[in-house]
Parts: sequence; structure tokens; C-alpha cells
Amino acid sequence: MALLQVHEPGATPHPHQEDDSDAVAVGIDLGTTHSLVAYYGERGHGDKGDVQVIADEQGRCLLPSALAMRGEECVAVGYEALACAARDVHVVTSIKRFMGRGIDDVAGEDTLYPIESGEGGMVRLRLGDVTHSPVALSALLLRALRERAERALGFAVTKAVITVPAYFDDSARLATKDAARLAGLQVLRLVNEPTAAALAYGLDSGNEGLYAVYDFGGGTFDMSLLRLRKGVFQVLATGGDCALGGDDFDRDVRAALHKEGWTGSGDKAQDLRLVRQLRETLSSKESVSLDDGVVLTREAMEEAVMPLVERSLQICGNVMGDAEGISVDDIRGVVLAGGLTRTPIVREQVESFFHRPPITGMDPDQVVVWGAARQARALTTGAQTLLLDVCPLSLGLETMGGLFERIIARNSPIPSQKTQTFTTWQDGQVAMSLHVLQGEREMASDNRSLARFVLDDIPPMTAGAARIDVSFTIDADGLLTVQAQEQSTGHQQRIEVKPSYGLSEQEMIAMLRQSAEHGRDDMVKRLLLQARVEGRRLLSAVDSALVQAGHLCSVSERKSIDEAISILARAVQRDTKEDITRAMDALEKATEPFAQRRMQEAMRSALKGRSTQDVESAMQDNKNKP
Amino acid sequence: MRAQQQEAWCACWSCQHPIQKDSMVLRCPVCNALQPYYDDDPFTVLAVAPSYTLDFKQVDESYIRLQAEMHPDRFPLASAKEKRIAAANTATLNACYGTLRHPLKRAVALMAHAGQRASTSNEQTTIDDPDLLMDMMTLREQLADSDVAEAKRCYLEHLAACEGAIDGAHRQQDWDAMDRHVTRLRYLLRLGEDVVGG
Repeated sequence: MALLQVHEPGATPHPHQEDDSDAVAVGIDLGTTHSLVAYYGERGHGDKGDVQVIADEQGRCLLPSALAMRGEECVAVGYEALACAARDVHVVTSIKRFMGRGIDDVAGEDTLYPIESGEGGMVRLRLGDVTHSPVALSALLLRALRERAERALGFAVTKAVITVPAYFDDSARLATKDAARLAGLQVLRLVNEPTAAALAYGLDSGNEGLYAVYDFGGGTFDMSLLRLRKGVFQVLATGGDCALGGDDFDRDVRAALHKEGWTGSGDKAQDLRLVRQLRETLSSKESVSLDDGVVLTREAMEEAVMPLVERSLQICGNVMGDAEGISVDDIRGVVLAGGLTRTPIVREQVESFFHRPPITGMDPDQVVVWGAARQARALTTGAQTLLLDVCPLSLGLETMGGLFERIIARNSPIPSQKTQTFTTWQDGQVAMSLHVLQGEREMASDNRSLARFVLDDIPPMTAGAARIDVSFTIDADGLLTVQAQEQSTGHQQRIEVKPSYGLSEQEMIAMLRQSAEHGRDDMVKRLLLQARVEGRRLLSAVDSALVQAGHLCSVSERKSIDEAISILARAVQRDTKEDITRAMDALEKATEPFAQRRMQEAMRSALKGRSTQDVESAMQDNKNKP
Repeated sequence: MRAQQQEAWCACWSCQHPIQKDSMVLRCPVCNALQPYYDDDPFTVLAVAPSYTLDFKQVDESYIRLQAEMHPDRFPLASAKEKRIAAANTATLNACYGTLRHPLKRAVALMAHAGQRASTSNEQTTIDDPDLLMDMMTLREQLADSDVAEAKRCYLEHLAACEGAIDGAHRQQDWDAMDRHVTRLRYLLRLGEDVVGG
């Protein structure tokens, strides 16, 4: 594109031409009730860029985390899914609660859909005749967000920073990463939601000191304590509950309503959605009345949810205890994130716990995605901020007698690596079974089982003579790898901890194959999008060149250029990439002599009153520019 | 560790330029590639003078400066190998930071820094020294009999005295005395967990 090369240094008409899909990563908040996608955009010249939350065609930023499924097929996502009333369509929500969880974990929980056990005890949601894995369903949400971003940005989006609850265990993190993979997204980093919220606030205020983030969302509660200094966000301690959120509020409010004599519609999902609306209305009103004459006052609602709020404050107390030597009064500010923090009773309780009114400058639904978008930018183009996070739960092994031996303690800064030496307990023992666990309880069986593997080929020795080094490595996403090595033979076995609950490897492979088939359509769509953007770019470049230096064209030349312009302008409206490419080639060809003349003109004016040396070095400079 | 440093030079993994094997050299002077840590001595890694009493503000500053240099997030476009080195270095840095902030681990590391092996560094669970055993049992009873605030005050007093003794022994390079005090600290800390709850 010869034309594009002629412009003054620093006055590039399109400042981020090379950016595109390779250099732009989006931030995604994959929430229990809502999901969002945002990117860090520059706003023209000189203006400081900032986060833009991407809205849908109707201007709505939130995408309800809801899917309408007809059999295997997803017929609608978001608001459209919630509005779906077809008889053969199942609307599924709150998928995040099942991420990385096993059938035993959800036993006894009041779920909206029948839960079934899949391969290896993994949760599957039964919707009518088919069952779905939470990972595959989450992938559909992520895909919808990716497509929303691609529509807004005009090019393929392949990289993302995705936020997860700080208290998510290894299985849930891995499940989230798998879902992203299925949705065609490379995860640059999993960032903890409270840390992302701090990042969103911290930069604006430029404050230093200790801050608490109180993140109460639709399904999960997290509290993190951070030290902020010069753009460094150091998490000191974190805690939470992955089954404490708006869903639980709704359940308890519904129970309170039933006590008042409310019968409901009989459809559990529909009732809960209504309850949520009522609950949200009560944030600004004192009471609401239902169709059948039942009245719900704010007071009654608050009484119903109070135990849940207290539970969240109890977690805050534990986190404070973990960060030794820090008291509530050392905290300089409390940042709120998550939709539940709009509830007046939550704000009041937070204020009284922390002895100060919380910071509420930003929309609590958007704080997390802001932080994610900023981190996405930091990981693509670099930034002066740095997030130092911790692992939320202790990791270790089951030892003799069913005890849990911690190898990496909770709240250890990540990345982290620790090696511990174990030995054989029987003469001639040639294999050792390792059971990897996560949790805080003393008995192995009370903790979360992450993986089991066997180190064999240990040379037979007397009991206690073998030395087996087991090393635990946690990466910056908080994901664990375990390696075991017998020292005398150097025999090594390495496992990426594959959770017992999530997607089995076979399932994953099958789904990736499937998505590769769908992927062809996707790819065609993406290439078209990309071609359109390039076509428009060329059009505007030629346009501005003609405005600047139109006098350099002969009349016939101008005519053929104009013709090529109108062909390309029509091609970008249509749906074939080949047409656009062909029209672009034609336009470039038509403008070639004009471009050369412009180049000579530019050289001539540059030459005026300057020595050859100056010009050569100026040309050199131009060449060196990226 | 320190005493057996034989090869002082190695080649940069990326451009083969010779580099001094020293944890202070973080990047290759020629190609600027991040170099792996060759030493996990926390005083070397965090660039603080070996002493039991530390200026924690300085430790913190050093930690943050090194994190800013080496955290994997700082290498978004680097090769897979350099990313791995960044992650491994950060893990070492995190471990060293944890060691310096922990009273017992710091003392053990201080002895290791001087080429001394603390007898408490292996996972022993019984007390061999009859005097220490007697001492600990008496203190345990004493703490159990007093009210919570008094027990805590008394415990902290013992802790401070023990840490002071470690510091004194280290300054005089009296390794036998230091080793005894370090063992004592180990049991004191455990007593603290049991009686005063940490």
C-alpha cells in the first residue's frame, strides 16, 4: 500500500494499523449472572486511551449469563435467551457455579436443573433429553462475548484476560481455561476478580497503602487485602466462598416469601428471576407488593439475607487474621465490586465492619471487566502496573494415615515452587502413589482431590532409603503442576494436574474437533471481517491522499481511481472476502502512479534547502520506523 | 552453598556470551536476555546484608523492584524459554522473600549463608537436649496457667529474648550458640501456635 507510506512522522492517520488481532486482547468478566467484555482503546490523537466496555447493538453492556438450548443446539444467548419461551427450549443460567465441580460437591444443593454424573464424577447438567458439561456451556458464553468484541472492533479476537473468583480452586480455574480454549480464545492470564477490581480503581486514584476489595457477585464472594504502591498491586491475603452470592440471596428471599403465604408460579427458575427483580427493586424502595397481595418489605428482605452478609464478614475477618499484624484501621479504603454490593444492607454492614464508608465511584458490575481490560493491555503492549497475586488455598499431598500434608500454604505469592522429599515405607517398594489435594482441612478426605498419579520404576531398596522429590509449581494463573522424581535413578514423572472434575481429555479433544468443524465457518466470517476493515482503511487512506494532493492526478487517472474506489466501496458492503481483496488490488494498482508522484513530491519538498546527507539520514529514520 | 561455588562463569542461554554466575546479574549484557538464578540464598537474591535484624522496608523495596524486573507479566512477548525463566526466578524470589520474613527460616538461612548447617533444619520432632525440654515444659505450664493476655505477653517476651540471642550469636559468629538458640526458637514458635494461637 504505497499510499499509506506518505505521511508526516507522528501524523499517521490510523495510529494502530498493525495492532489488530495480534496485539489486541480483550478483558472478559465471565460472571454467574452477567458477563462483560471490554478492551483498552486509544481515543484518537493525544487523548489518553481508556477501557471501553463493549455493548451489544441495543447499547447494553451486560450479557446475562444465560443460554437457551434446544437439544445440543444453542438458540439464543443473554437477554434473548432469558426471553425464550418455546416449549422445547431450556434456558440455563448460573453455569459458573458448576465449573470444575464434581457430583459429590453439589450433592444436596438446591439446583435448577437435574445434575448428573458424567465421566469420572464430573457434573453434567440435564436439560431435557441431553446433558451438557458446564465447560461447554461456558464456552458458548465466551464465544458470544468474543463475537460481540469482533463486531465492535472489526477484526478477529483471539486473546483474552479472563477473570475468575479469587477463591476458585485449581479445577475451576482449569475448567475456565478449557472453556476459553473451546471458544477459540487464548487465555493470556486468569486474573482474580478482586485483584482486577483493585486495578480498575487503583490507577485512577493513584493511592498508596492497604486496600480491601469486597467482591460480592451473583454466585461467589471474595475478599482480598492488597498493598498498593507505585503501580504495584500486591495481594497480601485472600479468602472467599464459591457458593455464596446473589443466587443464595434469591433462594433465602424466596423462602421468606413462601412463609408469607406466596405460592409462586411453580416454575422454580421463573420464580427465582422474579425474586431477584423484587430484591433489586428493594435497594431503592421500601416495599413491593406481589400479584397475590403478598407484600415484601425491605426489612423482611434484609432479615432473610442477613446470615449471608454475616458469613461474608466472617470471611473478611479470617482474611484479616491471615494477613498478620494488620487491623481494620490500617486499611485506607474498601473497594466494592459485584452487583450485590448495590444492596443497602450490604453497604451498611461493610461500612460498620471496616469503620469507613466504602469507595463506590464505579459501577460495581463493571469494575472487574475494567481491570481485566487493563491487564489485557499490560500483557500485550506492556504497562507499568504489576499484579502480585497469591494462591487462595493450600496445596499438598495425602500422607500415611490419610493426613493432608501442605506443600504450598494458602496465601503464598505466585508463581511459586516448592519441593519436598518423601520416602518409601516398605522394603522393596517399587511404586509410590501420590494423591494431590487442595484445601485447609487436616484430613486428606476432607479436602478437594485434584489428581492421583503413580511414580513407578523406583529401584527396590530398603524402606526409607529411596528419596523421592515431589515438587509443586504454581504458575501466574494459579494453576498447579506436580512433578515427582526418584533421586537415585533420576526417573521423572510430570503431571499437569488435570482435575478429577471438569472435562475429560477425550471429551476436550472431541469438542475441539467439533469446534474445528464449526471453526471453518467462523474462520470465513473472521477473514471477511478483517478484509472489510482493511478495505475501509484503504478507502479512507486514498480519500485523504486525494484531498491532500489530488492536483497530482491527471483527469483520466482520477477517473480510473474514482471507479476503483466505488467498486471497493461496494465490495466492502457485500459478503465475499475475495471481492474485497480483488477490489483492493485494483484500487492499489490504479493509484500506483499517483502514489509515486506523491512520493517524489514529498522528497522534493524535503530536499529543498537541505544537503544530501540530511535527506539520506531522514530516509534512514523513516525506514527504521516500525 | 556459598563455600562450594566453583564455576563463577557460565554462558548466556540465549547468545552464549560469558556471564558471571552471580544472582546480581539478571540480564545478559549483550542480548539482554533474563538469566536464571544460580543461587537461592535469600540475602543474595534480595540484595540485603546478612543479618538477623533486617530493615524490612528495604527488603520490601528490593522485593518489589525485582518483581517488576522479573515477573512473568513483564515478558508478554518473550520466548517460551525466557518466560519459563521469569516464572522460575519469580518463584525463587517469592520463596526468598518468605524466608526473610519468617523468624525461624531467616535464622536457618543466615547460618546456611555462612556455610553452617542448623541442626533444626531437618524435620525433627523430638527434643534431644534435656535442658531445652525441661525449659519448654515449664514455660508451657506457666502459659497454660495464666490468662490469655498475660500468657501472650510472657510468650512474646521469651520470643524477643530468643531472637535477641540469635542476633547476638550471629554477630559474634558463635555458630554453636546460634544453633542452640535457633533450635529453641523452633520450639518456642510451636509453643506459640499451641498456647497463644500464633
